[in-house]
Amino acid sequence: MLRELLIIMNVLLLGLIVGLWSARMTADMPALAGTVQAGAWRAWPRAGVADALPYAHLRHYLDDALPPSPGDRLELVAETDDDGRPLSGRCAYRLSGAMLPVRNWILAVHDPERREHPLAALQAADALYRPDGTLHILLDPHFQTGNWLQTPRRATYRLVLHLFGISPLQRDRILGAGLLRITRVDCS
Amino acid sequence: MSRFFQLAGLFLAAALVAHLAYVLLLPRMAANALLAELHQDLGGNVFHRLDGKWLRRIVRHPVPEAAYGVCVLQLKDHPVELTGPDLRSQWAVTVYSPRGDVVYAINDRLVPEGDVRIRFEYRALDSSMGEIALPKLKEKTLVLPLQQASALMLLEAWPWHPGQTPLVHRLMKRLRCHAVAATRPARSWPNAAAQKVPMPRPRPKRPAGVP
Repeated sequence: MLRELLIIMNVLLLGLIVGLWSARMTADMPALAGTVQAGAWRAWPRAGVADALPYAHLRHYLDDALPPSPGDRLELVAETDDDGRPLSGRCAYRLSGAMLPVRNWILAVHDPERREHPLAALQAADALYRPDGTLHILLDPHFQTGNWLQTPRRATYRLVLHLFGISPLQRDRILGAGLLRITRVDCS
Repeated sequence: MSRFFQLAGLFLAAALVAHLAYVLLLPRMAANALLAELHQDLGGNVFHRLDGKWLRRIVRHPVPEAAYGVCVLQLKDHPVELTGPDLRSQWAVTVYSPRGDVVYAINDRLVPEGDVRIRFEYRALDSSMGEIALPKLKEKTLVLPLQQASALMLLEAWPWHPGQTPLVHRLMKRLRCHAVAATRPARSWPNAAAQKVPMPRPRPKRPAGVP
């Protein structure tokens, strides 16, 4: 009898562990978490919306943060370059392409480990555009002329692009319009 | 063999229950706990500029130069108004329900130009009866009906240019979140005059130096 009870308890415990583990894993699955990927950039356009899949909510609360506002803005995050290599302070990168037609934008460098204000940032009012309307932004730990964001030396970092003034209709399609490409220039 | 299937069924049932409980309950519990903690720490119906611990806790990627503020809305007894000067910047107000959903996401382009005046009102509606309450503009006040008696309001203001940052932070300090007397619509008695609810007593001022 006791042996029988122990077997049942073990099976239940194993089931609970597998259930919790699968929930944690599923929350990271892009399709269920509502992640949209465009090049190296990822976004969660339906985060916080009441009818979003529960995994989309879960993903944010696992990060111990409220879901970002689904209003007229979008937060895009890149942790790798376009070739999938993690962004590293040992390397310089070039961001190039046309900025999306939005009311305002801010590109910021964040430390992935610490939730503080960004290490460096560039916003629309300060950016220099090329004659054809495109942007070239250099990410480098050392001073550069033109659009330059200083990155931490010898550490990985995260890029966050805040877009303001996006209509809800535009929101889902905006990622298909093409975003800044992130290309590694060289490494020391 | 049937013993094996019994145990496998038990295993699957336990896994399913744990999976669903985690997915459905964790966000709700986390949001509820955050609201309760904020209420305990900062108080209800009081506007607080966010910095340090709470900013890190609430905003995943703070926008540089931006100013943030929160107000834990306690709407059961009276509506609450957010009032203050024109922030002369881009700003957004997000209202989170205790379940963690976003109930409203308002920005500066959706309200009349000038001073900030947003009123949050609790309306217990029966959605199964087709009752809905829509936001409306009353004079220069945006009235937002909520079906939740408590909620979290997050205000974010970010300047057009870094040079405007001190101005935006200064203007943000003048924002107030406060309970107001209600003029409740008499839903059950269509001809009854609006019922006045007495003003709540103002909260005691915090001593100088306490954020």
